[in-house]
This record gives sequence, structure tokens and C-alpha cells, in this order.
Amino acid sequence: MKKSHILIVIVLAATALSTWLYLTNDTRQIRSQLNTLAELSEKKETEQGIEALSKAAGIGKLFSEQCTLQLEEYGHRGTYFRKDITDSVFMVRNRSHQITLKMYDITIAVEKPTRAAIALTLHLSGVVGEETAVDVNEIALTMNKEEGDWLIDSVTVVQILER
Amino acid sequence: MAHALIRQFFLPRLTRATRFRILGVALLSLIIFRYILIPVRVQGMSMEPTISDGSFHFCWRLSYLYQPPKRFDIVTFRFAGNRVVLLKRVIGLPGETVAFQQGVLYINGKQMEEPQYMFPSTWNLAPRKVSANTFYVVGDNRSVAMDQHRFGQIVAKRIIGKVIW
Repeated sequence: MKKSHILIVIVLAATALSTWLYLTNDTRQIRSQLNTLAELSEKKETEQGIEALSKAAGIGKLFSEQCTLQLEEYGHRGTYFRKDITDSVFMVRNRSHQITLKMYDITIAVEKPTRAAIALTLHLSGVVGEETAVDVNEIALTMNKEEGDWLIDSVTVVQILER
Repeated sequence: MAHALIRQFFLPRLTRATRFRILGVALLSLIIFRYILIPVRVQGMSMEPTISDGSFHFCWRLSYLYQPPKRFDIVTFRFAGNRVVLLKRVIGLPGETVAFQQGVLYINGKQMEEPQYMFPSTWNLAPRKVSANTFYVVGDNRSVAMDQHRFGQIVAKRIIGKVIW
């Protein structure tokens, strides 16, 4: 076997290994889940009922079977089942003409092999009736790795201003 | 002669020294406007009539390097992540009691006259103590309903600086 062949094999093995490490990297998988959440949350004016239902179900699948929500500003506080979240998302989609969800300044800390804490800025805008509503909040999430998937286990709006 | 000098000032020949000067100015601008004198564009009407929606201001970060914020300073603070900052006025200092009665500010039970012009307000807020190492901030536009206005005590470390212009 020539020297160059050995070199090619080493390079290919290293590329395969780094690709595998990159794809199975927890931080990358969490980011990917968050991107999916943002994509599914997006609603255009032309969205039909079936599409809304399928997107709401898709969003529901990103959450654990039981999830803790501390969203006092939105009237949600406590433990919710995945089905509750799916139903709420579907209702909100039905009420709004347009929804855009963006996430900035995402920091991910994988605390245990199956648990991660995420901090991010959530920019939510939508058109309800004839009014455009925009809301920005700092959000703290915890995600659990369940059967290979990172699922949202708790969502908290960080209270910056305490009255 | 004057024309040549003006031309030389604004359109200098790209010598090595000029390139270094341009690089120096660019670096200095980056440091100043990113870390010291931060430009802020206002979105929202919570500081009306003092600060208008869409206006442009500068926040001086060194203001609170050696001294804490003073009452009635307009400060910027990190509200969400690194990009979203809010502008509010400091009304309560650590350890003080803050209250509103028919829109009038009371500090430690004493009526305070605020220096800025404001729209009429009917806010009523029961007395509450400002915790240690926090400042009580509120917008100038108190003509809106209290529920629709973001205000309260903020941890000192979130304060970025003072709005100076």
C-alpha cells in the first residue's frame, strides 16, 4: 500500500469521525430543535387549517410528555401535558393572522448527558385582528434527552423587572 | 491654497501612514461605540414625552463605573440577552420604599417632585421596598395603564449606563 493511499484513508476516517461527532453533538442537536420550533411557529396569512394542525402537532412533539411552564404574562403557569400545549398552540394560531418567532443570544449548557439548560432571547411578533403585537423576553429553558431526542421540559420567562 | 488643503484633508493620498490612520480611527470607533458610548434606537413610547419613539440616543457606560445611579437618571439596562435594552428613569434607590398615589411619586412616604414634564397619570401603586443592590425604574409615560407599562426593580448588574444624549 502506497503512502498516499494511507494518507487518503486517514483523511477520510478523520472526516467521517468529525462529521459523526458534529452530527451527534448535543449542542448542535439542541440548536436544531430550537430552529425547528422557530420554523414551525412561523405562520403566514395563507395557512390552512390542516397545516395549522400539523404544525401545532409538530410543536407539541418538541416538548416532553409533561412540561412545566412559567409564562405568567401569557396566563400559563404549572404543569402541562403535551396535548395541552398542542391545543394551546393550535388555538393561538387560529386567533392570529401572522406569527413570527425568532431566537437570539442562545447559550446552551449541557449539565448532564441527558439534561441541558438554555437561555435565549425570544422575539415574538404577530398580527391579531388588525393589530400587530410584538413581545420580547428572556427565556430560560430546560431540555431533557429522551430516546435520543432533546425535548423541552420547562419554559420560564425570566422576570427582569420585579414590581 | 485653501482648496488644496481641504482636498488633502478629506481625500488624502493613500500613503502607508494614511492607511494606518484610517485603521486606527476605525478601531477606535469600534471600541468607543461598542463598549463605551453605545448608540441606542428607541422603539416604543414608554419614555414619552422625554424620549420619543424612533429617536436615537447614546448611552455612556462609564457613568456608573465609580458611582451608583442617581435618582431621576435615565438609564439603559439589559432586558433580554445582549441586544434588547430598555430605557427607564431611576426613581427608587436600594432600601427605599416606592409608591404612587394618583400618579404622584412617593419615596419613603414623602411626596417627590419629578424634574421632567409628564402627561397626567392616575397610577396607584402600594408601597414596596426596593431590595438591596437593585434600583426601581419606571418610564416617563405614565398616562398609559399600569398593566401595559414595564417597570419595577432591576438588579444593578443589568444596568449598562446613563443616557447622556
